[in-house]
Amino acid sequence: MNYFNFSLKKILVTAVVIGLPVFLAVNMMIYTGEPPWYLRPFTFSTSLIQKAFSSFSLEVRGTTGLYLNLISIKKNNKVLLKDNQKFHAQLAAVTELKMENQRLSKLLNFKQQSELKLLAAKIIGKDLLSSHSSLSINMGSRNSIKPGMAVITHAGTVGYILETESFTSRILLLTDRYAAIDAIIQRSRARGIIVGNKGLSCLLNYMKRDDDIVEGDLVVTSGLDKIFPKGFPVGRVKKTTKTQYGMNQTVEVEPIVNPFNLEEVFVILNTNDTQQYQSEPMDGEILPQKEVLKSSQANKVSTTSPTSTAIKKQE
Amino acid sequence: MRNLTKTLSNFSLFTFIALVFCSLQSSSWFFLFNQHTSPQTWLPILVYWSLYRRPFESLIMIYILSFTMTSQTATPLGMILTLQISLYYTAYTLKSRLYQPGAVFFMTATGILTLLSPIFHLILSYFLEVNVIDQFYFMDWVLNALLTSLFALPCHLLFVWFDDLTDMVLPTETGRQFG
Repeated sequence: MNYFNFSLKKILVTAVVIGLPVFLAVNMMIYTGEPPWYLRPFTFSTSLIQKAFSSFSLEVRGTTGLYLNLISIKKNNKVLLKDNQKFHAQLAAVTELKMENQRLSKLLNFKQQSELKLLAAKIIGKDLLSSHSSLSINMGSRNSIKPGMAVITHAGTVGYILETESFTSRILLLTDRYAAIDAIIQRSRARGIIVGNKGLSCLLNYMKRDDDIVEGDLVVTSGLDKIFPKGFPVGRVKKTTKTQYGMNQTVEVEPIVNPFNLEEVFVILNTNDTQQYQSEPMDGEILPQKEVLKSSQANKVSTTSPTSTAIKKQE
Repeated sequence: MRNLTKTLSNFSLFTFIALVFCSLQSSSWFFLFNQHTSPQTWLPILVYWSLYRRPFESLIMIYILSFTMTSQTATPLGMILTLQISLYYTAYTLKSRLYQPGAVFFMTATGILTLLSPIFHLILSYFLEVNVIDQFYFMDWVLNALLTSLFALPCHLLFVWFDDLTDMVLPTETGRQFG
């Protein structure tokens, strides 16, 4: 046997067979730091591919998640919208209740403070024809309402009862062309008769040319018609016109109360007891009560009620 | 002669619908749209009876309609009756000169009468009332006619249905059913 006859191929194979485990054993140690040079191309490529895959997967997961979320979002949205609508409706109802409460509180306060015998009524309709201004209320003769009784709110005069049914009544508004209310200018005590005019305005008739009336003056009831309490607000002077000749002046009055925005009114049941009403000071005004009393005593001679005349005319 | 029960049923149905329509205008419309122009809901009833009934029947219906209306307005009954009779005569003239069957003619007639109604009211007020009407709103007048004409279409369908229910025969173009 030729022990010195080497086969290079065999030597290489033997070396690889013995060396590979050794090499692997050496490389099984954990490297801290950068990978060795021979691993770098692999790690680099792997990292790139891995990154691409991961971002792709993430995108897919994101999209799928988004889609899945959309379904639940849609569901949630529906629920939230429903809730929102419900809360909106509740809020509107609460606001409405709050406003109604405020309005009714005002009315209740007014009723409690007033010495008048008042009956609260709800507006249930308006006039069928546009040629007249009237409203119907849900109280009638069964509630002791009679034609000619005054109808007011806490803010001012509305009109008076024109006709009554058992369960309903019709109010002739002070803006109607047949309505007439005895009134005075609060500041100067000039007296006239309020009659309905076009639209939502009235005229203060029979005012003398030299009567002291300025725009913005408060017009109050005189109480002489024995229908309305004395000193109750009717409206404010909107415009005064004096023609070149003539004894009178035209006074246009804007009612304090817009009757078409009302929901509740008061009917004064003790119509014939003349009572003086202390109206709330408006825009810092103070009612001259002594003068009102003096005026009422001085005007006691008045006999005919313009309102009752108007009712007779209507009949 | 038609069955009395059916005639009375027809009258009752129209009286009921007059009450409903008047309340619809004075209450429901008022609460929904406040002071905005409303259709004259009672007018299609008057027009229908003027066009499709004998004068005697129409006159009875005019009375019923006036009684219904007077409970919902401050206008005196006499004024309403006079106004309605004036409108009836206008409708009768339209019927005798231009009558055509169908809803379109009914709508047109209602529109014309709605336009004429405030004019008649103004004239009647001038001659009959102490405090005459001194206001006239043009846009309100036009809109009123438009709304009432539109309202007349469903009314026509409803009224024809009422007539079918009560076996009332509508007049033909030859006008043989006219009184």
